Amino acid sequence: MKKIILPLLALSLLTGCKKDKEEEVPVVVTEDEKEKEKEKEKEDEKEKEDEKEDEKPKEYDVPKTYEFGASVSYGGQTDRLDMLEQLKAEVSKSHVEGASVSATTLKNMFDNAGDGAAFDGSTGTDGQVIGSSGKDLSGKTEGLAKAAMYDILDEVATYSGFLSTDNSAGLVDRKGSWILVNAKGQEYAQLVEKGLMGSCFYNQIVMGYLSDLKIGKDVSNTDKEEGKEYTKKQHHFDEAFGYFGIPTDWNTSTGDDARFWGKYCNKRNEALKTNSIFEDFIAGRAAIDNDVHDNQVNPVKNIKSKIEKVAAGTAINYLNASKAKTGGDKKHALTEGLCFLRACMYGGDLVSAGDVTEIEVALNNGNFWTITNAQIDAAVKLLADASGLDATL
Amino acid sequence: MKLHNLLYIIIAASLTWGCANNKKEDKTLEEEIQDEIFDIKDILINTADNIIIPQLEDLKNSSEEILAAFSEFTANPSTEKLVNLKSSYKNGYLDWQYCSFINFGSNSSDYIASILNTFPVQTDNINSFQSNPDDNLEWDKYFGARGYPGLDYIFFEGDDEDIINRLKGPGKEYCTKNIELIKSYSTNNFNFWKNNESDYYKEFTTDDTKTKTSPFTNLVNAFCKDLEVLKNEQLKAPGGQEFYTFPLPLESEALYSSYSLDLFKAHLSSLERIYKGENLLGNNGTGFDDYLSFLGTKRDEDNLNELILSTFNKIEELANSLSGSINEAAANQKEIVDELYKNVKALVGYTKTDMTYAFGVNINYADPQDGD
Repeated sequence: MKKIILPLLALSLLTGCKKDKEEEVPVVVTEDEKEKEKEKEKEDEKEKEDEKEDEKPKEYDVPKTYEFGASVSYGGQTDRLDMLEQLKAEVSKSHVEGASVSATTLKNMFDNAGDGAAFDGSTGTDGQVIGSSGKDLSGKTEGLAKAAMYDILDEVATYSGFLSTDNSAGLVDRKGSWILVNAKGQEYAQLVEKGLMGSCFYNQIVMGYLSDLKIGKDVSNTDKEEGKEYTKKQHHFDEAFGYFGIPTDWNTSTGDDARFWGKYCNKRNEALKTNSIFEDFIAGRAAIDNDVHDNQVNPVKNIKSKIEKVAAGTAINYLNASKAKTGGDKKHALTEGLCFLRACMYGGDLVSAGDVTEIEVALNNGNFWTITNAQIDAAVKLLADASGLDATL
Repeated sequence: MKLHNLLYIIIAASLTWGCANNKKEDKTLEEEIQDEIFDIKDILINTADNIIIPQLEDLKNSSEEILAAFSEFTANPSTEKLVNLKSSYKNGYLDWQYCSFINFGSNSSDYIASILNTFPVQTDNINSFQSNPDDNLEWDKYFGARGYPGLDYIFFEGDDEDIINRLKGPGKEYCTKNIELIKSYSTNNFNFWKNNESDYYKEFTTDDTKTKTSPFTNLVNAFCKDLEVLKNEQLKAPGGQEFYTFPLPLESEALYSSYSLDLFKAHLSSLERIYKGENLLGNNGTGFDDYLSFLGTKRDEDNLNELILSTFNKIEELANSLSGSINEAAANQKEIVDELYKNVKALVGYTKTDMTYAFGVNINYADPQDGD
């Protein structure tokens, strides 16, 4: 059998070789074709090199401070921050027995009627006459909150200087001085200041200037705005930065020179490490300056997430602190907590508007005359669960 | 001599020289003391076992006694039963003075003082509650109308006939709810410690760190804060001190019973015992005094521990020389009240500033939200 298999195998191998030889066709290459082939190889090589070059991340310097030359501009935001300080001060004039505050004055300040006329020529942070920018708070406040704010300002004027009797709206004692509260025991000065921090500043930062509509891929970042030193995209980002309320050299300051969101960011930094938001603002702006859209994505995401942490964390902190307080001091802390809670509805991915409503219901529907500490604990737990933050902040 | 032998000799010589040099380095006394370890757990264990838990148990028991006395009174109201009720109230209020520093641990510990002892009492709200007996006394609108100050008003305002009629009528529901409130908070806090709820007792007696929220930091802060209650709430306004250029009697604790001086003295003795690590029977354990003594801390030329102890003695002596209530003393013995306040204020400085610095503990109870 072996004798048969071996010759067969040899035969089949020979047959196979023969077949290959038969399929071989001689190729004739001309000199021109050779030249063309060489050129194509060269082109392919160049293309590959170009591709490699494109894949390399663009290198640029990221400054340590928010210094980007003459292109930085957010005077309108600084003016609005100054306006809110003035508005709160005017509301606080109601904290004196017998004092009267004019609803028209308050609303004129909110609207910046007369481009600064309502602020009596007061000087602002940048040395400007407050309101002279022509900007206003009301025009940038979320619609429903704006309507509610006019009512609040009317009520401040109505109850200004009157003592609360039998838990009505009016003045209540807070550690030896008066504060003005509404019928639910919520402090008006906080509803105005912290309320607008949420419905105006936070809303503008997150839903406005850090949205794709304002700093997305399609927003112009090559041509400067007419008569300005900045592109549209640069300016939008600056406006978000301006609403946050920190100086351009926040890294070298003690942190105490921050206002509004910057101030509360600094307060939460020890527990939540939120001050790194400054680096995010710088990284985002540097990416825009160098027109590398991909590099602005993460910083913007971080900014949004950190402000939400500041809002939710500050709400938890105030609500917890309110438990050991009584009377006007408790109402003050609770109103602060309530306003920071409400701010959460204007941005961020964690605490939804639905969560805010549910937590406010748990907080005795915002009635601070009849609230108990057990209700505060329940509200804090809900907020901690929604935000993923520690309930003991 | 072979090379390696020579090397051995050089190494040995250098080691000997190094050791000799180390010996020559004289350590300061302070450095040598720091090398030893004072176990702050000893303070924590003693405070938990011999001060906090027994005193919270007393508070719980006295709240039950108030409830029992009130039940007896309501079953058959009489002047005799009223005397018994007033007496049980006073014992409870004195027991509170021994527990007011315990503002850490349980969920309600940080606000138990606001529930049980916010004064001056708001009588309007007590009267208002009597018209709305379904209300909850824990509502913030009743913050100055509950706890011991509420009982002080309801048990002592007017003559016996007025009081008995009040307690038989509209004040009955108020008292029932208020005593239940006192009992509930006292019992819950005692159980929290006694039953090691949330594992806190274990943590308190085993954690020897000095971080911002550690048990030792909490205890030192609680002591300092409570001493400021003695100074600012019990003495400053009714005693006419600092910016109160004349006494404000309506600001006094226990305004209607006039027990304010007794309460002040009880509170003072409690603070002194905490400092010394002493229980209610006078048995001395490890306290802040031992730690300061161990550290040998000085204030100028004085030994800080001795200075604090002598100031406690001086305050005690001055308080014992007063008679009547704090209001009566402020009216009749103003010079002694002034001297008393001066010494309490000095004690606040020695403990809140010097003692905490020596212990390496930060004061963290200043309200971070003030000024917002």
